[in-house]
Amino acid sequence: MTAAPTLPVEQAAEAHAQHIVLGNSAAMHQDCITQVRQEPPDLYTQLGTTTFARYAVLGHAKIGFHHIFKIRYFGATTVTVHHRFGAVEGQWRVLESARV
Amino acid sequence: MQKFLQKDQLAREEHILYIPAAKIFEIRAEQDLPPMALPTTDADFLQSRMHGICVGEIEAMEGAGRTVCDFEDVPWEFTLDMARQVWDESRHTEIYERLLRHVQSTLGEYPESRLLWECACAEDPAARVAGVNRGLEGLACDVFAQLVQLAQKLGDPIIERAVDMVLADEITHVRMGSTWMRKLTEDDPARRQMALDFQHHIDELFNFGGARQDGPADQVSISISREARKMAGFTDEEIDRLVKAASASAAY
Repeated sequence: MTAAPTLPVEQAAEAHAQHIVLGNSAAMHQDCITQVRQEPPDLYTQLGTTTFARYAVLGHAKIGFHHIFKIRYFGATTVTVHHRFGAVEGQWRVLESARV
Repeated sequence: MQKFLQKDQLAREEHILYIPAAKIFEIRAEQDLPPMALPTTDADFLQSRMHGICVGEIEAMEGAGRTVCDFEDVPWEFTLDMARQVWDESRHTEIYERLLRHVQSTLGEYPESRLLWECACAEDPAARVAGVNRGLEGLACDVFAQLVQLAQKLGDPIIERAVDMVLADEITHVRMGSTWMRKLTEDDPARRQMALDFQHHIDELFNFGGARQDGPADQVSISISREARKMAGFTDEEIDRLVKAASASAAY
């Protein structure tokens, strides 16, 4: 976690949310670090198999240098997730996602 | 009306993120940061501290309000004092919300841990006032006195005066808590001891594993304020006990 990313973290969060809504599994995983922490442990599998119509960024909070976004996904089921982003090699990456 | 609300039952605007304190500490540790922001490690210390206090005031307002609601079998004057405290805490919330704007922050920029609320959930009114009014408001004395000193160093009279005014209220809350803890446990030493034990548990919890210390305001996370605590009616013995407990508290 070294160089500061040039892209604003808000844009990275929006992009990740769009990938989830579009069901773009490859992009979804590219947004995350390899060992992304998930709660429940199969969260991304669940998100990948659910059809969402839209999302809304509800909140954005900071803990140290990390940013946590509270994003609600609307579809057949409505899901609210906290995505935690951190700077990894000059890019904002999802370090952890937890359903709340 | 439902009594004894749990932390997940608190009403909040959607943009507020609730993250338990243990998780926040874990995330900070991952970044090699101390559990609580320090003036020496966190560039946004002032914003973060102001935010923590602001949500703490909201929870204190709710806590005092729930005390009015939760306990019916108490003297009327106790309920009146708690209602008065709700009014004080609501003013504090407004003051800190404005101070947040003063330091270019806003409510929701940091998560809310609800740790203070959890401590307001004792089922005995004597334990509730011991924990909240003596434990938490005692913590507020430390935190606010530290903030006043930092504001003086920064040359910020707005923060200095506003926080000093709130500190005056907190001192009365501690005194109120001490009075009611003694009154409610008159002729019942076992109940008084349970209330004091609850307060000590809260004190230990809010030592944050060594974050609260008897040290300079600009070098420690939370500096124990002997002066403010003495004004609030804590004895030298009680303050020494807290200092000893804080220094013995396991460091993260």
